[in-house]
Amino acid sequence: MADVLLEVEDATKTYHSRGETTAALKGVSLVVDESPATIACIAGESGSGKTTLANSILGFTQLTSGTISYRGTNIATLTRSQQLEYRRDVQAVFQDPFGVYNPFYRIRRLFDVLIKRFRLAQSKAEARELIEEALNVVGIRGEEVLDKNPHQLSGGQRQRIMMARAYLLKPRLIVADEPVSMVDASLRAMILDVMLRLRDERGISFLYITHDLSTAYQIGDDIYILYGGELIEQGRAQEVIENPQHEYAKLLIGSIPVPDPSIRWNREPHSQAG
Amino acid sequence: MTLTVQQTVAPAETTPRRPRSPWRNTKLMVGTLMVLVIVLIGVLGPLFWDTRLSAAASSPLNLPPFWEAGGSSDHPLGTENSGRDMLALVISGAPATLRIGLIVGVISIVIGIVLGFSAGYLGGRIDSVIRTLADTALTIPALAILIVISSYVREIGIATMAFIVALFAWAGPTRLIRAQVLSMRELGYVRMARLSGASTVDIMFKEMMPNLLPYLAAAFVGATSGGILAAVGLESLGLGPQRIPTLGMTIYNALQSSAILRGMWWWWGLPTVILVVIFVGLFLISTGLDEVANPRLRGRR
Repeated sequence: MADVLLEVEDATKTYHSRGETTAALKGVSLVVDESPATIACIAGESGSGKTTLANSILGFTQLTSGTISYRGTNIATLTRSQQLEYRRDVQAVFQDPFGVYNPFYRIRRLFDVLIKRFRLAQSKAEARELIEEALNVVGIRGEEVLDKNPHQLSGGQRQRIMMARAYLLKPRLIVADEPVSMVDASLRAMILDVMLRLRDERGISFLYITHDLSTAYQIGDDIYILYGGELIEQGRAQEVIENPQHEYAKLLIGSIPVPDPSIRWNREPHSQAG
Repeated sequence: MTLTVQQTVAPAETTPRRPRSPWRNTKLMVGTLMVLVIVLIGVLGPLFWDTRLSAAASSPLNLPPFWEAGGSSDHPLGTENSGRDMLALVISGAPATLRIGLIVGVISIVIGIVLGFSAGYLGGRIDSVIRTLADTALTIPALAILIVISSYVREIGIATMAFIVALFAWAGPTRLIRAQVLSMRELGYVRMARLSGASTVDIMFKEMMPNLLPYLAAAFVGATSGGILAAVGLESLGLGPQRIPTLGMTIYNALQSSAILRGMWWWWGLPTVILVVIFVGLFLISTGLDEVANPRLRGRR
């Protein structure tokens, strides 16, 4: 019996505006395991409710009904100190690697704020070590970036630093809301690889939210497919991909490009081309 | 160690020209210079000129400036109908007017920050109440109300004057700040700060405020110049401080004594010129700050 880290039960979120009612989430339930650490993927198109779900888990929006429990405690009833504890355990990486940086401050502050608020280090040297370690996980050296302003960094660097920022807290769960949809292909592979390594080596679970089912299949343990705010497909990644039940899921899975080894790219390798 | 320093400096020099700081804006600098001149007149003037000459009957009556026929170098900018020296009036009047403006500016920006942040960040019912109050305050013809109020208040000083004017000057900054905060609330770095466990106060003052500085400065300057305008308006109607020779009071006296008909242009002209310098200076500062805040408005060099 695996330990349950996060459990979403019957989550429903409706918005009212000008007499119209829009349901962003309709009775979604899911479970993220703590041990073994799991990458749970939420896949779905724009407007399917996946970001609303992420925002509810992160406490940015309140559910209309249903509960989200973290280690058995409803997150809506957390006390102030428990909330801080929850923040420490549940972190996030967002889609847009640009807007998440306050243009007023240097990169260093991002880490310093966390170290101070969560009392992660007793001394300056210890703090420096923690930051360096976190940055090393994503393949960056501190001196390259810490004293720079956000606009001096590339999108890929920024997204990796965000990953390092989340890792600094040694969280139990990272909600990754489309972390790779705004970075280029080589960085995508690198960031997905970081997620796999954090899961395997540090036991951090992920809630990986994406519109791209192929990356979900690539790294996911469990896959949940959302469609119009409803969960239409769920299970182990392998099962969902190989044996989808719902029509929309079949369509989505059918659209994953499958590499066919029998088709060769009609081009000579570079070494011989010159 | 020195080696690493050189290494980090070298690429910065080779990058194609670093964008010039937006704060080095011509309008901003010219405007600041103009306001500084007025401030200097007020600060340094009393060292070189006896401001007691601004009292009535301290000088000969109706002298023109020294370069006109009948002018005297004892009163280089002339005197007016009641024997006040114009140079002394300018030296003590200009900073008094500016001070009223600054007090109004400070009061309304502080109220604007408190109300604007509360409305924009907390939203909900608080927002509705504050927004309604500010919108209502904006539609009230302030000068009319101010005339009524100041005609009831006896013995108006600089501070009282400023408080009366500030009663209506806070609505503009409040609306401006609310609008900015509202759009910033959903920004990535504000969400990130919440994820980092930042308190509401921290988010407001450490995350949002620094990025709002150009707007706050522009709102402050706007409120200041609005405050001066309202104060001078009241003074020109004879409703300002009676014991302090403000520029508006000088204009009021000039109008009362038919200075224009009598050809005493220096009487009404000098305070007007000072006021124009103050207003144009503040206007330039305000548009300059606007360009700092909105890159799209920045002119081509």
